[in-house]
Amino acid sequence: MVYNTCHGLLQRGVDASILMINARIPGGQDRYRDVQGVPVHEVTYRSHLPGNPFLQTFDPRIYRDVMAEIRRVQPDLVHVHNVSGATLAPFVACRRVNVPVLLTLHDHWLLCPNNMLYKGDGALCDPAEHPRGCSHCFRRQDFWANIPWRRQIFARLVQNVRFFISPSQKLVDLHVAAGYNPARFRVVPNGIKPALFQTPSDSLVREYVRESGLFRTLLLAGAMVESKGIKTVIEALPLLARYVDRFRLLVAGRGEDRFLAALRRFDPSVVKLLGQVPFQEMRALYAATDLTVIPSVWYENSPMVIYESMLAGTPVLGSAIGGIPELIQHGETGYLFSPGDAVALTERVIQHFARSAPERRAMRRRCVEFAHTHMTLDCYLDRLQQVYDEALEA
Amino acid sequence: MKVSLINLNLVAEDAIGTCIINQVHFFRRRGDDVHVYVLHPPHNVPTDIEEVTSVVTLRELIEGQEEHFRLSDLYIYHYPGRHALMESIRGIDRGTVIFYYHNVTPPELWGSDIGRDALMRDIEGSALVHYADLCITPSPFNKQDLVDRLGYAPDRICVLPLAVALEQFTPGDRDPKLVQRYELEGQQVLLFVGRMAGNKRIDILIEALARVKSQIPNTKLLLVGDDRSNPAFRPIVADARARAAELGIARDVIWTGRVDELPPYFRLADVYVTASLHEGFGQPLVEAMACGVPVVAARAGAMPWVLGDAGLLCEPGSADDLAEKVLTVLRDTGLRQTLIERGLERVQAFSLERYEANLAEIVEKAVTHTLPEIPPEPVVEAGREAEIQPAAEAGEETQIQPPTEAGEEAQTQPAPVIPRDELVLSILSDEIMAQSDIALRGYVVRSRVPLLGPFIAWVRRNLTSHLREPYLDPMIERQVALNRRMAEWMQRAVALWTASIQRQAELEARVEALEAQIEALSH
Repeated sequence: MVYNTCHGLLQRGVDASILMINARIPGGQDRYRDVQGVPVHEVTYRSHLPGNPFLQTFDPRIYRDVMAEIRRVQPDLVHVHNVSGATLAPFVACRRVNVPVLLTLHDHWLLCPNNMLYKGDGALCDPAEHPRGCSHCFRRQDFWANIPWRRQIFARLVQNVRFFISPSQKLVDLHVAAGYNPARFRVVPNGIKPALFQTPSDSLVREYVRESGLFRTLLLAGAMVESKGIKTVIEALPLLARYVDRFRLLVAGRGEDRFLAALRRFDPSVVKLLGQVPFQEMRALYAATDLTVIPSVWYENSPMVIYESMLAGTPVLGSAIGGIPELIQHGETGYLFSPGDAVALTERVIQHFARSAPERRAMRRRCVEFAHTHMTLDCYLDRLQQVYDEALEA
Repeated sequence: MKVSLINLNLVAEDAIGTCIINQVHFFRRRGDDVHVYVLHPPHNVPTDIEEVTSVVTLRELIEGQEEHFRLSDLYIYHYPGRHALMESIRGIDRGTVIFYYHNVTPPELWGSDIGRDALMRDIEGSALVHYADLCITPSPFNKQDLVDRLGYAPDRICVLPLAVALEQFTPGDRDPKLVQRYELEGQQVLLFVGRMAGNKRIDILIEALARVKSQIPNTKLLLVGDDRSNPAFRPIVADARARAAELGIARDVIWTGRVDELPPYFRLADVYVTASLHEGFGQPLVEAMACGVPVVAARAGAMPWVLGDAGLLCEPGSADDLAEKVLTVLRDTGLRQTLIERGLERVQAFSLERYEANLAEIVEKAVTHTLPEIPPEPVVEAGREAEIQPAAEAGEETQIQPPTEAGEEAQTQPAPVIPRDELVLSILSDEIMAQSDIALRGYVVRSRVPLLGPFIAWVRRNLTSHLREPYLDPMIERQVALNRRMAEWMQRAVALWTASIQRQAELEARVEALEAQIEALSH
């Protein structure tokens, strides 16, 4: 995403470069690279961040290096992406030299130490409920920078951020509920390159693509973890196999053993586990299926699965949570169901296949049209440049 | 991309056949993978077209047996009338579907009771256009027909005139052989090309000929076209012949029947005449113009549009008007020359190049997305395939697999009734599965102390984090994973065990049966 943005900006005549700085990956590198015309400065540290939450909030090494980079590049504007690995030091550095800075929100790290606002017991966290910071959920996913009065401190450290760029309105709402000023947010949905298909290398995947149309295929793509709601699909599977004629589920992605084992327990002619499928080859798989399912149970931001699927012309069956409803028009480019509701999921699938073939075809067409008008990199860059201009004027 | 063309038949000579062949060439040049599906075997088509033509049944199409059809990105359904393959249009749920509408003659103009039912069916069948994303039709007249009769959205209809092979239809001298055969030396020739159907109104042409002959005596009417393939044509032809005899011009009306090569016939003509009351396009008009023959046509169907200002129009159904216009053209050499020149100019709009350019534009707009091309798998030896497949499906799992024999047997046999013991075992193993998670996932660290409470909770949580994060949590998760795997192993072992018990029982029964047999034999 960052690379594509930078590449696109360079093509539009904006002088841009990337600083990749991460204290979570041990490395100890400091090198300049040129990735197909995009200048990238890559910095990692010999020892990754210790378990000290204060250092996870502000890492002086990163502050120093960002400062040096700013002095070297002399930017008019700094745009920060997924920030949890770089701590909040870049914002402090920008404040010090008074350079306007933007932050794209990819998750809920400003609100929640495990990024997800998702408790261990499967419940969702309401940011308004615990104004001071973390709710008391068990340390299931890794916590990051869990300091006392976390939200207040974080809010202070990012106070010089001109605009928060959020791919979805839901993320804005959650931040506003936690006390951020709504005027500081700009919604800019992500963009992807409508590149050509790459032929799948795996012979099984190729076979599934060639068999498209023989079965009524549902595709489940992504990490097989609890927050993605895999359980819902597993619950719905017996119903789907019973009520949908010629039903088949394709599962692309890896994850927790328990889900894979549960999926493996079903009839292998109905559930096909593909394992990890390379990203470029996924589009062929999307195009070959009838519906893509996103059963997430956490506040998804703006899942790329939806973008990819729609670009390939496949309607998406998504749970009505997080940013998902913003990308799917129910009945037009996909369907929505309440998160965790296996019966509703089944109903939607049945409803889809009960529609006439021309209607389903029209849905596919609308998906592609929507993807081309709302989800391409060009749309993204147009809106991003508007926000840049606004930030520079302010 | 993959393209499927669907039609009733593929006959090289007829207008739809030519159109399909043009399209096959067009898509091939674009680099597309094109295939034609027909119900009847192709007739008289070049071998390269025949290679990509399949004779199929509706069943084969809708059951997905034709892989190319199933995976196509673009379907073009030619509509010559209702036929079985047309029905497959209802089930296409991906790609783009184009309905290619070559009009249907209205039954009321058919002029015969024979075959009128079929026309009614064809008319009704054109409602299948609603299953298409887009409709292509050769003339605005057809477009209006679809809009008025079926309420189809006008913006979804593209007018794409048929292509005429302009390199074949060129002006030229009369063929002496034909002149001799039909005794046309020194004669003015009125030409009509088309099948002798009721809507073509041959009778009006004969009436008009009589009127023209009264002014210019050395005039003949040449009727070129199919007059016998359809039984409905016979009474029409018989009536027309009788009327000609009645008017005393039977010798001046020449019926050639179906001919192989048309251009020489056009070159014989001084005027091309038609009194047809319904034409979806009127290909002979374009061919006549291309051969430098002035045209007099009835103001009906698509003909006024096809002609533009390059021909004379007469009142439909009026022999007097037609004769008058024909006389004007024959007498006024200036007008005649203008019409010929305008005609030659007009036909450029119907060239193959223009057709292909327009079709390319329509296809470009209509096809929004395509399925990826997946090349056919290389043939793998049976032994190797068996090696590859389980590895790909099982991923990196290293679990005990039940012997493949048992698995295959279980698949081939009907589902057995689960014995009670096994049911109990399965419930038990489910419970083991449920209990295998020993992590306290719902555990919450809290303190009820006012004000300082969150801080105390935070300290408590963080005091042990140096132990919990690197040691305890991973240990617990490892244990959970092991427990789960053990539970799964137990399930599999139970499955194996019950299978082996069943097998044992079977074998015992068989041994008993064999023993009984031996005993019976030894006695």
